[in-house]
Amino acid sequence: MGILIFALRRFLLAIPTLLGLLIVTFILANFMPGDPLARLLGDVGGSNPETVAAYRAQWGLDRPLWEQFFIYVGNLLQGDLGQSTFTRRGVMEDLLSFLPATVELGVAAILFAGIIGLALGSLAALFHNKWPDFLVRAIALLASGVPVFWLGLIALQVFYLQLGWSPGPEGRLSSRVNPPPRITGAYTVDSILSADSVAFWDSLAHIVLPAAVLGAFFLGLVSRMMRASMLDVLKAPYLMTARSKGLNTRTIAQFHVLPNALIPTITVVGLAIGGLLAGAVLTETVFSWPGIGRYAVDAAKALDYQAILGVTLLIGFVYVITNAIIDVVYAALDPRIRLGS
Amino acid sequence: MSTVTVTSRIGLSSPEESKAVLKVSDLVVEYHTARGIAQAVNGVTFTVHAGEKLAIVGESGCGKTATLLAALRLLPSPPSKTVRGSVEVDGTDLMTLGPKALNEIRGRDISIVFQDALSAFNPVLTVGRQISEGVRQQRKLSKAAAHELAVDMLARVGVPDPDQRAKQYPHQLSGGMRQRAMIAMALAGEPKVLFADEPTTALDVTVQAQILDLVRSFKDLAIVWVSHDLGVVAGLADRVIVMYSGFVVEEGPVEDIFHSPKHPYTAALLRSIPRTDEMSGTHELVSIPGSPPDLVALPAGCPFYDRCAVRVDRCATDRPTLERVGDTQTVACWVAQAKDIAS
Amino acid sequence: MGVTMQSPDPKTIRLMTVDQNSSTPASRARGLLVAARTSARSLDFGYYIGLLIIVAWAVIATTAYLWVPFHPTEYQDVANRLAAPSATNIFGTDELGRDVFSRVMAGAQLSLPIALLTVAIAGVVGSVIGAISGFVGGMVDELIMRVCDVILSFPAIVLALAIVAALGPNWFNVVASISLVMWPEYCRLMRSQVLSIRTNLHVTAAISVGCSPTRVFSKHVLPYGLPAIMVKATVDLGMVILITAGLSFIGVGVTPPTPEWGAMVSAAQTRIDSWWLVVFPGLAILSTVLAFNFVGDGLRDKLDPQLRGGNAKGASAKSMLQRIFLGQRKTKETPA
Repeated sequence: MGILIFALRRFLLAIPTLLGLLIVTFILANFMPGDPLARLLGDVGGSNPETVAAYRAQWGLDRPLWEQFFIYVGNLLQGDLGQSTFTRRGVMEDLLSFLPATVELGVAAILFAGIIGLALGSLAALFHNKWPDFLVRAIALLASGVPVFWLGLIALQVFYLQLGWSPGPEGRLSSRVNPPPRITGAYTVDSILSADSVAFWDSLAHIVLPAAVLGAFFLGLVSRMMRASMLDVLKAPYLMTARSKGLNTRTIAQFHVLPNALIPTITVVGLAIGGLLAGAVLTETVFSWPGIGRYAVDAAKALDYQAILGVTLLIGFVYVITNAIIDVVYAALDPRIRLGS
Repeated sequence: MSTVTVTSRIGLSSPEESKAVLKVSDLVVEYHTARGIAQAVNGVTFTVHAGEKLAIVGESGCGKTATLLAALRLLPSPPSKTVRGSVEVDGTDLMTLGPKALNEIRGRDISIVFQDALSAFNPVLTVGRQISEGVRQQRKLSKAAAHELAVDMLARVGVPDPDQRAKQYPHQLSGGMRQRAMIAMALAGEPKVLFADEPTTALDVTVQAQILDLVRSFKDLAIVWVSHDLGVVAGLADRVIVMYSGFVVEEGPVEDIFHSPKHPYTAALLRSIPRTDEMSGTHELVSIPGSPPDLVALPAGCPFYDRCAVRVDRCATDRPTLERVGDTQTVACWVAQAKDIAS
Repeated sequence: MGVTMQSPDPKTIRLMTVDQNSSTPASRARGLLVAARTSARSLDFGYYIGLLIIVAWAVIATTAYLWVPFHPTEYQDVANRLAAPSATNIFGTDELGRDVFSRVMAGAQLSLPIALLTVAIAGVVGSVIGAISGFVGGMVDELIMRVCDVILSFPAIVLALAIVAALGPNWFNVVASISLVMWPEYCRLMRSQVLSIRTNLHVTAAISVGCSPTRVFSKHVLPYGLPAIMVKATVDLGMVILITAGLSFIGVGVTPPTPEWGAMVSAAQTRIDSWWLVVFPGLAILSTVLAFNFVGDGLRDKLDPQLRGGNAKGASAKSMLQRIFLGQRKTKETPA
C-alpha cells in the first residue's frame, strides 16, 4: 500500500516539471529563426495556400502568445509536433520510429554497465586498499573523464580495425541481414520473438560495442558508488548484529549487505540517466546508430528546428519520467523513504 | 596470573544454578593503528554462572566493549586481532570453532544487545523479521512460525501491540521500544548468556528504569552487562569487574565493591559519582586527575601508576597481578595486597 | 577569532551539495555521489598532479602560437597529408597536411577560455539567483526552484544542442547555451548554503544589529558558501570541456578549420585508420578533464573541515588560498 501511494505522489510531483518542459520548448520555438509557419510545414506544403491556411488555424499563429501555448499543448496531446523538413514526415512519427533503437541501446548500456559496475564496486569494497580496489578506482576515474565519442572511435580502431572482433560503425545490422518483423522495435528482442537466429546474432554483434562505449561513463559511476556505499555498509553496526545472531554469510550478504548498498547506488542510476541520454547522442553519431540522438544531430545540422524541438521535449520527458521511476524503486527498497520517519 | 573466581552470594540457591556457563580466560586483543599496536584487552579472565548478573565497569576506552566483542568473535579484523585466550560457552571454546559451528552457538547459546538500537537494526528489514531470522535459519522455521516467534518475543519484553510492531521497520519504533525489540532479538534463540553493551545509555531515565526492570526479571539468564554507569550497575549486578586500560583491576560482589573498594582506581571511580545514600551529606565529588595511559605504549608497571594517590616504588616497575584480598574480592594492586597481608 | 559559532550538525556537510528542500531521493543522492568521490588521502597526490597538468595546459593555451613548430591553421603541406607521427610531425599530420601537434596545442587556447568563461557566467549568475532565492524565500524561492528543476531535466548537451542549433554554431553561442544549462546547479548550491547559514548564531546576530542584507551576504554567507562553489566550479571546468568537445564533435559547436579538440576528433571520424588523428586530441580532452576532476576532489578534501562549519576566520580568502596552494589542512577535529 505504502509504495503505491508514494508512486502516485511522486508522479504527481513530476507534472509541474513536465509542464515546465513544455514552456521551455515553446519559448525555444519562438526564439528559433525564420517563419514559424514555414518551420511547421516544411517546404512541402509551404507553397499550397490551403495547407498554409489550415496550419495557421491549427497552430493559432495569429492568436496571442499565451493562447498559442495552449494550442501547442493541445496539438501535442493529439500527437502532432509539426513537420520535419528533412525527413518530410511528421516529427512525432519520426520520433516513434527512431525511439526503439535508442531505448534498445540505452537498456543494453545500462545492463552492461550496471551488472559489471555492481560487481566491480563490490569487489573493490571487499578488497579495500588492495590491488582490485586500485584497479577499479582507476577504471572509474578514467570513465569519469573520457569523452564518449573518442572512446567510441578508439574502440572501433581496436575491436573493428585491429582485432576484427566487432562489426564496423554500420548501425544495427549488417546490410545483408534483414531486420526482424517489428514487435517491440528492439532488433535483439524481436529476432528472438520471431525465432530469427541470423538477425539475433547479427544485431547482438552490432550492439555490444556501442552499448559498452555508451555504458562506460555509467560503469564508472556505478562502480564508484557501489564501492563507497558497500564500504559504508560493511562498517555498519547492523552487520555486527547480524553476525551476532549466527546468520550465515549468504544470508548476511543477501539480506543485510546488498539491499543497503544498493539503495544509494540505485539513486545514482537516476542521476546518470541524463548523462546516458547525452551520451546516446554522441554514441549514435559514432556508430551510425539510427536512434533519437542521431536524428537530433541530423536535424540540428539540417537546421530542422521542429525536429530539434521534438527531440528536446522527448528527451526531457524521458528524463523526468525515468527519474520518477527510479525514486519509486528507491522507496520500494528503503522503508525510511516509503513510510517517512 | 591466577584468578580466584568468586561466586556471588546473591541469587544462588541450588548447586545446579552455580554451573559455570561462560568462562573467559586470558583474553588478549590488539588493535593495529597507524601509531602502532594498541593493547586493548590484556589477559581478561572471568567466569559467569547460570543466572548470574555480572557487570563490567570502567571509563570509555578501557576495553570493556572490546572484551565482549572479542569473546563473540565480532571484532573486525583487521584492524583488531584476538591474540590469545579462550571463551568457553557450556564447555565449547568459541575461539577454536569453524564458521559454521560458531554460527550454531551465536544467537542460540550466547547473544548480545548493543547500545544504539537504531543503528544495530538493519533499516530495510522489519523488526519482526530481524528478531526471528537467526532462529529461523537454525531451526528452519516457516515464515508464519517465524512471525509468531517474533510476536511472542516482543510480547515477552513488554512491547504493546506486538503483532503490529513486528511488521514495522526500526525507524518507526520509539527509542525505548527499539531497545526492547533488540532485547527480544537477542533472546529469541533462548540463550544461556546475554551480553549487554551499555544498552540503556542512549535512553532517557524513565525508559532506562523500565529496561532495567525487564532485565532483572530474567532470573535464569546469565548476563554480562558492560557499563560506565555505576548507578545502573549497583541496581542490577550480582558481581562487578572493574577494568582499567584493558586490565581487570578488581573483581568482587557488588556490595563489597561499592562499600569497600580495594583498588585505588575503584575507590576513585566511586568518589567521582554522586550518591544518594547515607553518605551523600559528607561525600565530596572528586574527579580522577590525569588520563589513562597510551594503549600503544603501556607502562611496564601498574597502568594506574600515573594517576594513583597511594603508589609505591614497586608499582612503577612491576605490574600487579590479580590476587585475593579479603574474603570476596580479587585486586590487582600491590598496595592493597600488602595492606591485606598486614591486617 | 573570538566568535564562537554554533557547531552545525553533521547534516550541514551534506548541504554543500544537496538541496535542503529537494523533494526527491534523486537529489539527495547527489550528495552521496560527491561523498563517494572523496575517498582516500591519496587524493593529495592526484591533486598536485592535476594542478600540474592544468598549469601546463594554461601555459600552453597562452603561449602556444609563439612556439608551435607549424602554424595550426595556415600551414598545410598536402604532399605530406595523413602522415604518421615522425620526428618533424610528432603527432602526425591530418587530411590537409596540417601538423596535429600544433593544432592540439592551439586547441587549448579555445577550450580553456570557453570553459572558464562558461563556468564563470553560470557560477556568478547561479550564485546570485540562489542567494536571492535563499534570502527572500516564499513564492520567489518556490518559482526559482521550479525553473531550476525544469532546466535540470534536460541533459546539458541536448538543450545546448537545441540552443546552438537555433542561434548558430560559434564559440560564443556555445558559452551562452552551456551557461544557460548550468546556472541552476549553482543556484541550488548557493541557496542551500544560504539556508544553512541563515540560522547560524553569528548571522542572526549580524542581522539583529542591523547589518544590511548585502553586508550579511558578502561578510558571512559568501565566505561560507564559496568553498563549495569553488569545488563545484573546478569539476565543472572539466565538464564544460567535455560538453564543448561533444558539441563540436557533432558539428554544432566550434567549426573547422578552428583547431578545437572535439572538432578535430570529428574530422578524423571517417579516417579511423589514421589513429593519430583520433588519439591525440582525445588525450588532450581526457587529460584536462581528469586534471580538473583530481583538483576538484582534492580541493573538496582540503576545504572540507571548513565546510563542516569551522570558524568564521577559517573562511577568509587568504587562509583558503593558503590551503589550496600550500595544501595546509586544518588540524583534525578531536573526537568528543
